[in-house]
Amino acid sequence: MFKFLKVVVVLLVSFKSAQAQTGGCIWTISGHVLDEHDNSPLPFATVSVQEVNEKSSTADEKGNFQIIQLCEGTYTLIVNHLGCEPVEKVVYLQENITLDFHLEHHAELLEMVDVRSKRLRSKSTAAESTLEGIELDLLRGKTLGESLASFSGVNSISTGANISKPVIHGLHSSRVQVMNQGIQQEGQEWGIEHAPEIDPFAATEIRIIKGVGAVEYGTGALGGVVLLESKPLEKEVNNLGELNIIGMSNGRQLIGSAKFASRFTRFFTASLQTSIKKAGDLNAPDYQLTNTAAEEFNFSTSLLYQKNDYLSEIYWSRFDTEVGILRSAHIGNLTDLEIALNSDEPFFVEDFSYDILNPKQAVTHNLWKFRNEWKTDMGTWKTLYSFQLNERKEFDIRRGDRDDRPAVDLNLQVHRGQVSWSHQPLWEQWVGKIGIDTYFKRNRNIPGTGTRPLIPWYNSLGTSIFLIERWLMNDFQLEVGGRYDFQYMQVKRFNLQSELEILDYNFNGVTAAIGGVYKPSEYWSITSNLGYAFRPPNISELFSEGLHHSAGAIEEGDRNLNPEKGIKWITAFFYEQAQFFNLELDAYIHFIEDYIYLRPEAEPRLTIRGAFPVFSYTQTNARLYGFDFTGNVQLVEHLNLKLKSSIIRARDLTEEQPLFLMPADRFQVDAFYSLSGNRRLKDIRFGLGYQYVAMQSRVPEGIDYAPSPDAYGLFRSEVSANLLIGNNTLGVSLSVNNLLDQSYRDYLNRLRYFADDVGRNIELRIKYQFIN
Amino acid sequence: MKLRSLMFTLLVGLLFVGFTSCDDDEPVEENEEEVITTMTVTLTPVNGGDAVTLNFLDLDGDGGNAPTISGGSLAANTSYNTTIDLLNESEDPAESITEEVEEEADEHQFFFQVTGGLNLSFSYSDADSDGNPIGLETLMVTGDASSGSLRVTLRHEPDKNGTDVKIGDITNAGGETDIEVDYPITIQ
Repeated sequence: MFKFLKVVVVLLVSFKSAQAQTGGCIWTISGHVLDEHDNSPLPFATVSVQEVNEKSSTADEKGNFQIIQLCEGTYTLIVNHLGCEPVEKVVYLQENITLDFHLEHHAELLEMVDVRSKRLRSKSTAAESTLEGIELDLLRGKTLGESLASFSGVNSISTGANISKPVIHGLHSSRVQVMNQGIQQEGQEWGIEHAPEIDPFAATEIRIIKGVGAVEYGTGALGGVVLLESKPLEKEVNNLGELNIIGMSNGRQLIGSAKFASRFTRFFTASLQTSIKKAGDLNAPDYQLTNTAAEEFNFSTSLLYQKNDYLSEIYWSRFDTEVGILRSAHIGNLTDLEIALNSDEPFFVEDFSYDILNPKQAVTHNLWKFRNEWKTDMGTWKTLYSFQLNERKEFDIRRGDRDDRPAVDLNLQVHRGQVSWSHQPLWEQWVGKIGIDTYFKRNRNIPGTGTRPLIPWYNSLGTSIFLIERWLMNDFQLEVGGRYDFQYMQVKRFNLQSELEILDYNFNGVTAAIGGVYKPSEYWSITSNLGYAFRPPNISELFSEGLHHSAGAIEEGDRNLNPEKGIKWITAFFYEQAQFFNLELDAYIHFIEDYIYLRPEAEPRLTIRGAFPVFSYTQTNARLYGFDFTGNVQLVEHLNLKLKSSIIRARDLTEEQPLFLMPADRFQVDAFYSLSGNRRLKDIRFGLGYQYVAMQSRVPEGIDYAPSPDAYGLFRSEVSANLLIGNNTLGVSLSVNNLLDQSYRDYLNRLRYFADDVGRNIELRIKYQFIN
Repeated sequence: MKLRSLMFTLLVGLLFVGFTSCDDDEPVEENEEEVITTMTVTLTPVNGGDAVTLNFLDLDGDGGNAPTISGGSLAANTSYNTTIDLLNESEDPAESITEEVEEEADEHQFFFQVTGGLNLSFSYSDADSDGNPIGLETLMVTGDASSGSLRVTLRHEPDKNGTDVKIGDITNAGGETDIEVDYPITIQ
């Protein structure tokens, strides 16, 4: 999706009035306020004259406005409309003039506008959804992976409750691109047990794109894109502060976050945000999940300069976490795994504690960015430079006094630069963007671990160029995009004979997409997108070797893997009738050639810890298809019913069996009773929800150690309200997850072999927001 | 504005060149420290005679060449003083892992299981600081002629107070397995 911050003011008609010049305050400015994309009128826009306070006009239903009895002179006209970037125009008045204003709608702001369904939305054709407002508020304090699972079609794959990552239409890790603040997140994302190193509190909005060929985002977007963004201060706001305090019963967690943004000297905005989390051992309904405590301390700060057509921003964020991994999940061999599978309770169950012992992960992630944007007559230019430093340490249960030494110690540095240009609308209907994107990546193993590195030393350099064009009509929108990527990688590693090997890789390929939005009637719209994308094999798929401690398996990379190539067609049907009746149905089919997966080898490998199954990375052809459904219906006034469901079928076409680790079918129903309240107490909402997750019966043979867990259904409830105190808002919500404290295990949780999932969790959220 | 954009592009370009050109470092080879390449079980007859040694050898550690395991034959109805020696022979000189186990004796325990009808029983001859068995030293007693295998298991952080764990029953030991080797044995 594009953001055209540039607001185009086109003076369509300006003609001399026949009226004779008589002097005095008799002149009139009139005209229309129109949507830039389709020239539809923008009703109720306000047009004000900066120099004369009392002079302003509200446009009528047809977008007409009129300001009368103005004197001769220079005036600054400001046009405002909900959900639009305000437009300023300086005019010299010595006669009656007619002006048409064209306002750019921001798709993400558009969500707030009730009249949105009357116009074609300027949105991606590739099935995009947004999480914000109360929906996001109620997920505060949860991990990013968990938060994303509230999108229909998105699941989370996890290693216990503290480590989770998004699965979009069955694909995850290297196949899903996470964009944090406009930048490709670079961590050790190849690992299932490596969660995105992002503080969800820093984002005011989370979006996902389920289609492929979202060409702006690169080769990681084969399975979809997650975008985390924080909105800048709105024009009329000078100071904004937000304080969140969250307490959770399970794990006796306390989470706090604070955010403050302030505008000074007209051109500068400074903001500072921080969050802190302290969580102890979680508990399953029947026992303590020993060593699942976690700590987090994050902050971000930015300085934004905005003057006329120029914008510049520096930004720094730091994410720092330490997470314990269930003690009982650390096993030595298959005998241990067998014992774990056959026992009702994990072996290590101790009293509640906030201590984080081994095995654990300690991860820090720093992001620095510097961006510029300027609007010229030729269009909008953007430059973006970023540097990311990702440091990951993993601590194991070890012999001797090695517990304080990490068994994995990785240092990843990524520089990235992007330049893009969005051209002016051509014939008022063509908009587009062209860009070039370059990165340099450097991965190192910090010496001293006393273990053979999981992944080797590598440097990688990549460049890509992309072009997206959009044709906007009244009820139709067409989007075409293409991208060319070139990636070079050099790997240095020691083989088993201690000889240094140097390997060079070149990958290049094309990503392309075509899509459309069609709006046949006021309530209906259809988007469809066909995308082709490729993904080079990641470093782990190429070079991993050795034992996976939590999996009890040996994984072998294959240095001759080819890139995966996928083609996905996704079509979404929308019916939107304000709050009364909404539904969205997404249907998709995705073919992936050379899909990389772990195939079990016939021969186990004998070691001093016994025999281990060996899995090798290999390639096949895969087909995934499925449906996502979201529906919202107002049963009676105040009472809404929301339904959500996602179903996916994934098959290995060569081996003729299902693919491993695919999300089970799930259905969710929520009932909300909402009251708008009075002037003080607002947005009162009671909710009761039920989520059913079926058993995953479609599993390949010979890969899993245990049968899929049974189906489960969980209840949740919530109550929330906002109290207005002047301009400030105090929001309070209380929610209970796993209301009945049921024991269950989820197929996508890698710790399901060892312990039940978490039990009942009572969550209290307090949010205080002040604005002036 | 144009100048500014040019300067910025130049700056980014320079950074890239700078970082790529001075970045020709080499990886450092890491010593795999916790490898156990060798486990030797020595059974010496209590009443004199030649000792029998059982051996597990995997000099290149996990992966690479497969390990070699050599069993042995024991005399029927005989008691053996048995010791276990663990080595990491990928280091030069070889490092004694037995010492590491001794240092953390309270966190380790060996277990011995027989399969295939092997007539062999054992009892612990050593103890950690809490008076619980370790298993580096045991007394093995053979019965009538038979054959099968002897499984030697080393558990890290077992529950030594679990039911029958002190007398060598692995069922309730828990912890995680550091060693699990099956030696073929004949008693004749």
